[in-house]
Amino acid sequence: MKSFIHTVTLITVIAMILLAGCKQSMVISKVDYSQSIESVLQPDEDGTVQDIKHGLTFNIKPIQYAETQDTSSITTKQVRYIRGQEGYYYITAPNYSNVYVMAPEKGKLVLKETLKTTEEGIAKPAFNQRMTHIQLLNRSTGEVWKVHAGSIEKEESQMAQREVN
Amino acid sequence: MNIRIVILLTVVFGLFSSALYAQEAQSDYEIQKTFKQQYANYEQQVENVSSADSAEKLIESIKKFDQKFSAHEELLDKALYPDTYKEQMESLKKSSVRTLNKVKTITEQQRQLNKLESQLASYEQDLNQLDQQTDSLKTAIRKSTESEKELSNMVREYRQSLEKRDELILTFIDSMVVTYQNMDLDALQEIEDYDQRSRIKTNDALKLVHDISDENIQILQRNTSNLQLDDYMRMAEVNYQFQAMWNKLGDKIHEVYDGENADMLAENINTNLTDWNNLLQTNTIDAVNDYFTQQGIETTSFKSTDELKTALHSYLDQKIKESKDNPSEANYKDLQQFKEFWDRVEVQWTNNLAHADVLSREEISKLKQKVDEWTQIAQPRSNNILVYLLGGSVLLAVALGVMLIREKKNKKSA
Repeated sequence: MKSFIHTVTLITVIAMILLAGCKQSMVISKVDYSQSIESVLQPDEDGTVQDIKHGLTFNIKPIQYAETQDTSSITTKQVRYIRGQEGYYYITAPNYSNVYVMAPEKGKLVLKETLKTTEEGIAKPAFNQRMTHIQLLNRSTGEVWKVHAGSIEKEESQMAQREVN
Repeated sequence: MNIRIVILLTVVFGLFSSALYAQEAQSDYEIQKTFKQQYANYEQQVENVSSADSAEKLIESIKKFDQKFSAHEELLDKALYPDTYKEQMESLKKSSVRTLNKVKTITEQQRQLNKLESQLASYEQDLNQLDQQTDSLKTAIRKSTESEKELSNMVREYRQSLEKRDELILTFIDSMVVTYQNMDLDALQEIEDYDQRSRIKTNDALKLVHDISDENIQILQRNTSNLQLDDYMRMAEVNYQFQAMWNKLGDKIHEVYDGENADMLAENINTNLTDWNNLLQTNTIDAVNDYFTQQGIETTSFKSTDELKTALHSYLDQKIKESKDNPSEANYKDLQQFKEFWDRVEVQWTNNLAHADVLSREEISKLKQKVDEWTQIAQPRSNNILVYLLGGSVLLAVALGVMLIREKKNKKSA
């Protein structure tokens, strides 16, 4: 009788271990992270920007340093960012020469790519969400760039007009 | 010269193109921001619009605003989530149309108030004139040492001027009802708040209502001897209409009036109406008494409505009994006299007596049954005898005629 109880207990324990081992992590594919309209934020005196609508807060100092090699004071008056379909954040600011593509990770944003626009920077930049890419727009001149996570390409003005229309 | 023109045109065209291009180089963020700002601005305008013309222009402007942004509907649906562009535009358009209707209503109300204002001035003048006329007539009657005929003429003239006054009050009531019954006070208040316009200060409808009620009491207090039941019945109608108007529109009339003593006037009107009712009732009872005396209707004396009812019932009971037990020519004459009074009660005065709380409709109905019973019992004896005599004479004439013809025939045959 004792041996029977031992056997049943042993079988139960083994079955539980096996079932636990068979559990798989759930995966949802084809997720679209795209943010339809860019966020325009003002950094506080510490360089922190807060987007209440999208639940994102980060500090601009690392990006400002990358752009100006100076973080003694916050010179960036405005930060513009948009999230693409694949989940990367595209960040820039007025007069910046680059678009910074940042990948979200646990508690941080990691630089994936720095994309050069112009040497002198864009005075009035803006991001638009498009079907296949992010559009970077110079509102002063109407110049348009097609931005992907790893590349940036200036578009012809006619094409830009068509897209805007 | 030609080269200059070409250069100038090129520069203008270039500037125009770049301006157009720069205008088109608008980010999605700016589009939705501009839309939201302009939408909020339109909402504010819809709230504040104060004339029908500007409301119509605003509606047109909103249509253009819709045309301008409808191309960005998809983008704006995302920006406005959980609302949609169409929902928001519909809401704005509906509000603007609602505002237009409201402004039109207010304009109409103001027009009616202005019209009433001029009518009131005219009524006030006419009433004052009539009051002066009746006052002087009253004084003349009091002091008169003229002949009976002269005095009677003056009294008739006095009663006619009171009748005109009552007609004028009824016209005044009609004007008040037309102006005030559909008035939207909330809408009026809103436009006043926006325009910082003061209330129609010259509108003294409340004061005129007060003065009329006050003057009516004085008329009832000082003219008991010269007025007849006809006058009081007409006054009962005026009193009823006036009271109905005040009960229905008093609050609005009070609200629209901007004088300092509005509360006091309204309170006085309520008191006056109660006094007016009481006086009218008392004077009507006295007038019925006088009427019965003049017409020889000998009821027991009465000083109140209850006593009047008792007197009428006991008079009719007594006459019916008399008619049954001892039918007489005198009883029939009494019936004729009473019926003269009763016909006027039924045809003209039922409502007035009820409104004046002298005799209710139920009471009149009960009395009518007794009058009918008396009418059925009482018969004009003398008339029956005449009919019989006439019938007998005719029969006699016919018999004599027949006999004469037969005699003539017999003579011929003989």
